Amino acid sequence: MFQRNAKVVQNILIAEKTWLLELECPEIAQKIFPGQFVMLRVKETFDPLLNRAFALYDVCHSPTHHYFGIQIVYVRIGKMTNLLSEIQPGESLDIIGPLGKPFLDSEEYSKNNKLISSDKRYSEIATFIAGGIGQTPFRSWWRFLLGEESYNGKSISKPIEKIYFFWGARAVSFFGRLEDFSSTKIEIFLATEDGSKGFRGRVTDHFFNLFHPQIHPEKSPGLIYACGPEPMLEGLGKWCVSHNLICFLSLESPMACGYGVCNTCVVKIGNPSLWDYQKICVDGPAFLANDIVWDNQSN
Amino acid sequence: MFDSTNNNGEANSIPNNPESIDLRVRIGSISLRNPVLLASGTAGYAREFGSLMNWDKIGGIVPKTITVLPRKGNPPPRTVETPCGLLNSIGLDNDGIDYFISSYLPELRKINTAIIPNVAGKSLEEFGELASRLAHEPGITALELNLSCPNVSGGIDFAIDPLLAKKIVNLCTSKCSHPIIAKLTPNITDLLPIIQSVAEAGATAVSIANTFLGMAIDWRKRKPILGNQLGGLSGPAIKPIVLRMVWQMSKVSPIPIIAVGGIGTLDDVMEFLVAGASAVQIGTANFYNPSAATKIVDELPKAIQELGYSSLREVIGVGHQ
Repeated sequence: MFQRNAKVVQNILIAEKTWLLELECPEIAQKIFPGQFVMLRVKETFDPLLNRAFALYDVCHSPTHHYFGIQIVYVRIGKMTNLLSEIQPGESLDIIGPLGKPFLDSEEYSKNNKLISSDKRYSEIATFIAGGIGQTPFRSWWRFLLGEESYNGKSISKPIEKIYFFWGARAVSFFGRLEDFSSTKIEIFLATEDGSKGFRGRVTDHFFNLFHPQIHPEKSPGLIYACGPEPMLEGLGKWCVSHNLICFLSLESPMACGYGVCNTCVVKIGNPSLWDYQKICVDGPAFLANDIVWDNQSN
Repeated sequence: MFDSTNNNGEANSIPNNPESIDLRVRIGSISLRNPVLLASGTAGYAREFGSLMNWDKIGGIVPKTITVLPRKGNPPPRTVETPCGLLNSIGLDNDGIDYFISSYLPELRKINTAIIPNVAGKSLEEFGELASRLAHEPGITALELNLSCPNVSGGIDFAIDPLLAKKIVNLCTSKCSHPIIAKLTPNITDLLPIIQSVAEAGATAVSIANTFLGMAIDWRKRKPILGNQLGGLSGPAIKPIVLRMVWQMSKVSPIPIIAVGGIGTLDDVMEFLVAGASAVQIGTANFYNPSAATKIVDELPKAIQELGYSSLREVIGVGHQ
């Protein structure tokens, strides 16, 4: 975990209200792993006051530094992201990271969950389901899973065979840098609310239609990773649990600190009769759908 | 006025080198290497900082409030940012005194800074129990009593009742030989009767102040944003109010004041010292700038030198002279 002053390398509009920000921060780039995040703050301002959490989009390299910096992708939605979108190359930002726990691949997951260790589909296939700006943690994750990049000194021992990538947005104009997900091993499924691209409707419905175990018993999504608005994750998580699919939900929450001292970003983990709050920033941000107690289930 | 300025008879020769500026403070029987502490609820139990904190530098840590039994805390949303401030209603989410003593305290003892546990009881008896449990624990510099958490259900705010506050401090000082600091609420018209009460009961110092009761509403949803509806406001937004309180109270308080409320920069710390605070606690700033406290400690000598003093103690309350 480092707190650094990171120079902005580029900050460019890549889709409607969506920017890609590249920061020079070699120490963080060297240590960060897909699934983790950083906290960013525009300096010398008390309004907005707090850092904001952003998932790692990817690491980047330079001819001189193997790990030179990181990229994040953000939507301009509030005070901090308004300021961020005006930042120019050469200016600098306060950054803290890497934060949170890395995503688990099937090998890591199997270490504590014996039930799937013998099921080879999990080591061959993965499915990503992204809503809105929820694609951000999956750029680096697919590159790890397919063996294209190593993170924090780790590369996958046996790259997986296939990734199904579902991405839903309000309209086609919100899909930024689709090319960052292009690989012969990635099959992309898009959904838009207005029907301007792909399936018209919710991305989760698109996924349910194509991977319903009773309708398509031959199709396995493998391990599922999802990121997006909470109602989407709740619906998806419950569906996956009811169909015995293993699904990791990368949760979003307001955070005051991002490193575990403020106790803001809590989620109920356990079961409806026996749960405890865990912190999304240090115990997550990804949790198994089976472990999350959604509020309307609890007392 | 309580006077903790340099009265040890040293000659006031002004050093040329900022490194020779004496940052040590004494708050009654409490000795600190410098007056910069981390406030309760904003520094966890130290372990969370990992490599983000240089513990050798700061004056001390007040870990997150401990209660007799573990508490899950309030439902989310637990914080909401407001202009220049942060509203919180965490609700004393903590693992209880047993876990604190068995797990957190041994780790806290390993860091090289003053440890000032903060405790909150739901009753007089619970405060007594917490003080007894910590009475013989080594490695504790002082005990801070959270008389003033605004987010605990039951609504009893011990720091608005001078008699009750006095009883609590009396009981804690009788059970526990560690110096007692009473953390007061700012949600009160006049702090002086409370300060006098806790001083008479043997408190070594008061921390002024806890958060200001506030709230935020999402008008589109027609309801409060915080899960607990009301919360406590902290951050730069409250600093001028706390500064005013410390200024007024330091003139009349029989015991030293530790200032807490929106302090996050060197200027903030110097202002509170000039206003009469004997030490300061960095709170909300730890969230957005974990190195704020260490940076301030690094910058303090130069600021003290700029005023023409050789020790930090000379700055305390100098605004009243």
